[in-house]
Amino acid sequence: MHGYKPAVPSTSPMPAPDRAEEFVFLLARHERLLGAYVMTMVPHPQDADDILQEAKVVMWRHFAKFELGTNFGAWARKIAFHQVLAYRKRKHRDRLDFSEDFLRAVADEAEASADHLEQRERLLHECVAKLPEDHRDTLQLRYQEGLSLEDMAARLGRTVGALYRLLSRVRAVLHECVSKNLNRTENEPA
Amino acid sequence: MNPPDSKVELLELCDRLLDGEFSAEDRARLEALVLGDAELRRLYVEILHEHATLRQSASRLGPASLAEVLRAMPEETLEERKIVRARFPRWPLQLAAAVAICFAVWWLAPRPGDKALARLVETNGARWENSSLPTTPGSPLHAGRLRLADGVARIVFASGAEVSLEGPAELELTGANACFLHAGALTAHVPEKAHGFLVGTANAKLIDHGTDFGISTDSSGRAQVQVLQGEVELQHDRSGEKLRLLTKETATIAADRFKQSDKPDAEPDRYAFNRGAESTHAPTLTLTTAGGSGDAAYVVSPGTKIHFSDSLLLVKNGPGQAYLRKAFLRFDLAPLRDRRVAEAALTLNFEASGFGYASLTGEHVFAVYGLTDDSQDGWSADTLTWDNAPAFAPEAGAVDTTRAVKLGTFTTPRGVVSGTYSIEGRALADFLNADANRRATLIVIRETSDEKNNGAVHGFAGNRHPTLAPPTLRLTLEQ
Repeated sequence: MHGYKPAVPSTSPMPAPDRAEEFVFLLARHERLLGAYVMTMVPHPQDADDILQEAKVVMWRHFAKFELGTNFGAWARKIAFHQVLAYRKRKHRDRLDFSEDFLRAVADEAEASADHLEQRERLLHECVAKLPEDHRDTLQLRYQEGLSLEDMAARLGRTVGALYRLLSRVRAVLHECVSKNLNRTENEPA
Repeated sequence: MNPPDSKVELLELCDRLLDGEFSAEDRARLEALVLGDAELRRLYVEILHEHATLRQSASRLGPASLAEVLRAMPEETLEERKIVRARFPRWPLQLAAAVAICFAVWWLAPRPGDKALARLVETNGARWENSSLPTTPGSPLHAGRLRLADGVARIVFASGAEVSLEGPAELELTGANACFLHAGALTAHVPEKAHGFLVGTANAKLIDHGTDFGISTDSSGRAQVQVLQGEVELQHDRSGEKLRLLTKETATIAADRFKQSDKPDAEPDRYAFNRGAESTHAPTLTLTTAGGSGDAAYVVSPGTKIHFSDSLLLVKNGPGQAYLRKAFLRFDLAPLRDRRVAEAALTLNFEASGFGYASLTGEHVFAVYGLTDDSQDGWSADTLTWDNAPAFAPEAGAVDTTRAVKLGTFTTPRGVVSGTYSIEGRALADFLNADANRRATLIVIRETSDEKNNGAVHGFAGNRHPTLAPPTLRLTLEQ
C-alpha cells in the first residue's frame, strides 16, 4: 500500500500569502498617489474614497494578471480610472459632473506627471512646515478636522468670506513654494 | 500659451470647487480652460493633487497636529523606500495597516470556489444570446447576466427561490437571493426560507414576502407586477413610494410612481404599462400654471443674496435663516366649468439647480399644501415676498395651517435633484372641488433639512423653463 501523497507540482503558482504580501507592499507604496489621482477627477471626498476602495478590491481581484517588476502605479491608475467611469455611470447624473473628455484629459495629464507629482508631494510637506502658525491652524481645521467653512467661521469668529480668501491664499502660497523648490531641485547638478 | 488671467480664473474656479459653491456654469468654464490649454491642465492636476495630499495626510495620521506630522514625513518616505528594498518591514504600525488593508480586500473579494448564487435547472426551447454565464442546464451560476432570446429557463437560487425566465429577457444575478431584471418577464416561486427575495428593475425594487408573483419590464423600467399568490412589496427608487400587493393584485411601475390596478381579478397583462389610458374613457383635463390666470413663483427668506433662477422654482429648507425657499403655484380652474374632479395628480419636473452639492444632499420629504383661504389667491409673481406670501409661516418647512391644508408628500432619494415627482389622491381632488373662486393656490415646501447648508437647492420647472413642462394638474372628471 502506498500512502496518500498530495501532488505538489514544482511549477505551482505562487502561494496566496506571498502574493498578498506583494500586493500589500505595492499598494502601501502607491496608495497615496492613487488616492490623489482619483481626487483630480472626483473632488468630492466621500465619492473619491468609495471609488478608491472599489478600485483596491478590483486590483486585488486582478492582481494575478499583474506582472511583478512592471509599473504597478500605472497599472493601478488604469484600474482606478475605469472605476471612476463605472462609478459615474452608476450614480445619478448631475450637472456638476465632469464630462468624460475632461476626465480622460485629466487622467492622461496625471499619468504623464506621476513622477513629478510624487516629488511635489514630498516638497509640499516641507512647505506646510514653513507656513505661519495661523495658516497651519486653518489647514488643520479644514483638512484634519474636516470642518466646513461655515463651522470654521463659527469656531474662529471670522466670516466665511474671510476664511474662503485665506484658504485660497494659503493654497496659492503652497503651490508657489512647491513649484519654486522643485525648480531648485531640478536645477541642481546631479 | 495662456494669458495670465486665465490662470487666475482657473485658480478661482479651483477655490470654488474645493471650498465654495461650484455651479454648473463653473464646471463648464473649468472644463473649457483645462481642455483648451496644456499648461492649465497641468496646473489643475497639481492643485487638486495638493488638495488631496493635504487631506490624506490629515486623515491618515489621527490626532497629532498636522504640522508636526507633516514635518516628520520626508524621513518616513525614505524609510518606506528601504522597506520595499528589504522586503521585511520593521515598522509594526505600517505592517498592521498593511495587513488590515489586505484582510479587508481579501474578505471583500470573491474567490474562485465561492458558492454559486444559483443553478440553471432546466430550459425549454431556450435560445441564448451572448451571456456572461453558462447556459447548459445544470450549470452553477455566479454573478453575471443571462440573455435569453427565446424560450423559458428555470433557475433556482441558493436561497431556494425559483425563477422562470421568459425570453426575450435579460436577467442579472446579483446575490444568492437577489437578481435584477433588465428586460423581459419572469415568474417566481419563493418558499418560506427565501422570503425577502429581491428583484430589481430600473425604477423600483420588488421584495417578495411569499410565495408566487410575475413581473415584466421593458428596458426603460416601465414594469408590470402581478401577485399570483401571497404578498409582495414594491419600493420605488425615485419617489420612495412603497406599495404592498396581495394575491391577484397588480400594479404598474412608471418612471415616477406606481399605479395599482383597479381590476384585481384581471388576467395577467405583461404589457399593461404600454397601454395605460386606452382602457379609460373618462373625460380628462390637463391644467398648467401657465394657463389662464395661473402663475408660478418662489420666495426666498430675508438675507438671501445670491443663487436665483429664472427657469426653476427653487425650494429649500436649511439650518440657517437665509437661503430658504418655498414655491407657490396657482392654477386657473375656469376650464373645469361646473364639472367635478374624480381623480387628480400634480406633476412637478425637477432639474438640478446647480446650487449646492447633490452629493451632500440627503433624502428629502416635500409637502404640497392647498390654500383654503381664497382671499389670498390674488398673489402675483412680481410682488410675492417671503412674508407677504399666502399662508405665511416663518419656518421654511411649514405653512400657516389655518389657511392651508396638506394634500400630499413625495420623497426625493439621497443625492437626487432631478426627475419627475407627483402627488395624487383624494385630498387633492377634494381640495379642487371645494375651491369656490376657481383659482387654486398650491404651496410646495421641503419639510426636511440637510444638516449643513451645502446640500443642494431643489428646483422644478416653472412657467419659463425652455424645455421642461410647467407644474401640471391632470384631472379625471366625474361622468
